[in-house]
Amino acid sequence: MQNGPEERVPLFRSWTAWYIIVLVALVAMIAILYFFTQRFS
Amino acid sequence: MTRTDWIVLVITLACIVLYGMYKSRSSKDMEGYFLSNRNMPWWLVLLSIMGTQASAVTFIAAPGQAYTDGMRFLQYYFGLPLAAIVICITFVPVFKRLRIITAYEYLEQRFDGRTRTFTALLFLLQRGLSTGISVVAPSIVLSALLGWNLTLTNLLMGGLLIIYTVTGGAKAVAHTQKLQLLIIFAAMFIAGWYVVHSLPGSVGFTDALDIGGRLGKLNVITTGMEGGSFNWGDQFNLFSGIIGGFFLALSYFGTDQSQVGRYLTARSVTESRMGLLLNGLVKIPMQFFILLIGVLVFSFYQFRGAPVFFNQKEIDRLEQSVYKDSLHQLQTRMDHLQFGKDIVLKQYTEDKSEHHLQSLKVLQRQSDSVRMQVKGLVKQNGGADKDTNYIFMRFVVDYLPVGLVGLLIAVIFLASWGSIAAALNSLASCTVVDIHKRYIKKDCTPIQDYRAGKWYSFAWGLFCVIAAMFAANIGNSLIEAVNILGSLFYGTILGIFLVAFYCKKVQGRSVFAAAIVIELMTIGLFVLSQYKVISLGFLWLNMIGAIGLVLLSNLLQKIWPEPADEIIISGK
Repeated sequence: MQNGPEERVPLFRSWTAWYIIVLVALVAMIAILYFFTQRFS
Repeated sequence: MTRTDWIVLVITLACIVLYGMYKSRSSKDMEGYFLSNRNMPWWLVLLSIMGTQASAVTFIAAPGQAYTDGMRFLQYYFGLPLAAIVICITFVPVFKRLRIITAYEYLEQRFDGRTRTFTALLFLLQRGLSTGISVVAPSIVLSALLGWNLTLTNLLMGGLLIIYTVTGGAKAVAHTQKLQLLIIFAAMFIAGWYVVHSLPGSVGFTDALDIGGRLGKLNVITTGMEGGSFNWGDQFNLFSGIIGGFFLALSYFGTDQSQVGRYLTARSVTESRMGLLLNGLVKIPMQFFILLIGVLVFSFYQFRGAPVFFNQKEIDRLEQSVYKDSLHQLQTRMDHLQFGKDIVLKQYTEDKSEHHLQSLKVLQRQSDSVRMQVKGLVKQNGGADKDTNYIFMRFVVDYLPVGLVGLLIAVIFLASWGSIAAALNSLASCTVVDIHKRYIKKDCTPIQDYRAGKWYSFAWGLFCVIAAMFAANIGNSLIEAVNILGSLFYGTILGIFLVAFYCKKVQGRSVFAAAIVIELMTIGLFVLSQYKVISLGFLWLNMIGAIGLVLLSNLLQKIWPEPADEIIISGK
């Protein structure tokens, strides 16, 4: 991912890391909610 | 409502209006008024995006939805983080680089003026109508529950926020949304805690979850598979949530000016991206918490006995009708069922045995059957037979302590104001930038633009209040219809933007013709599903519209290419 010269990415070197975090968080949330559904159904 | 509740309500609302007016100072030009001079930090952008998305209906209807249908509605939001990533990669850098005020300006630079105007008009039509409904939906519920005059409630719901929205523009909208969300989250957390606190002594939080879950209300993840095949008519499941929800979120956050206008206020691409990505992360847990309150309310009513119908106004009407005796019989039946539930619940909470659970399920099915029969009576009596929107607020009014009732009612107003204020700001910016400055008065000074922005904000506020007055006469069915209306237009609008970003060879004529065909096709599909000719959940319309437009415009470009002179004329 290209970043403009004035645009520093917070915490990471590129925005790709942020996108991966969001994807991983989504998968983790769905997995947790799946187990939550199984636990109480 | 008690005097204390009134004091809490009035003070909370007055504080928001005064705070909005205090934060009203902005430079007197379009950038200052519509985009707060593009100087907002990411956290304010995040709160503004959240405040715009979360309307009063979110807090009124979502707990009721969980009460009646379980928590599977949450899957509707699974596509949002994916959409946020795509918008951050594609939409945000282009919008920020071009320094546009509305998303539709970009379409003229990429295609032509007619495509821009067509898309802007679709947005104005859809957003204008849905904002009118955003005013009336909570007003109907509050006026029915509290006996308030509906016209006055509409005026309060849609009128007071006009003061700070007109005077302060985007800056006042963002700062008030920050304060509104703070109050909303605090009040909802207290309400959730109070539901658990109000359960019988031996029943705790996990017991309430257990009862709600065993009775089918914690069905967060569902696949939509029925009898070995996928049910395309099922509104909320994992696949419709991820795929359909992705297209809906992409349309809403990528092309709806009420959201685009929020992240264009950011001071940089980085700040816009952070606001969008973090919204994608926090929206699912936030919605989970709101839906969970609905499940807790459901468990609470297992012990306390739920009303046969949550809209008391309709019950009062039945009492005056020929259906009075039938209603009394059903109420007596419900009382007997509750008596049985009290005994079984006491045993189940002690031993958690399968036998008692099965008895509880049978009693719940019978209670649901009684509720269905009462709904039938309400319908036969000419009333609105859906009471989902009344469930949570009925609990608030009947069981929350003095003071907290006023605060929760204030929450409904604040949530409503947050989304309506952003909508008015976006409707005004689109009208000024995409219509007024193109067709009415092209050469305006910055101060004239600023004044036009204020007048259009006021005019749209007035339109929404008037639309709410008319919608109130039609009732709940229109609320649902206008929610679906968004899906009728979003697919086409998103398709136009997807072609603009990803199909570089497609020119204005092809996309414009494809947009008209696809819009008609989307309406056709919706009509067919309404008449049960096909089974199609409305979430799928966004995907079908967007993909259909991309394919058709590419096909048209191949078989009906735009002459070179037209490309030159259209300004490319």
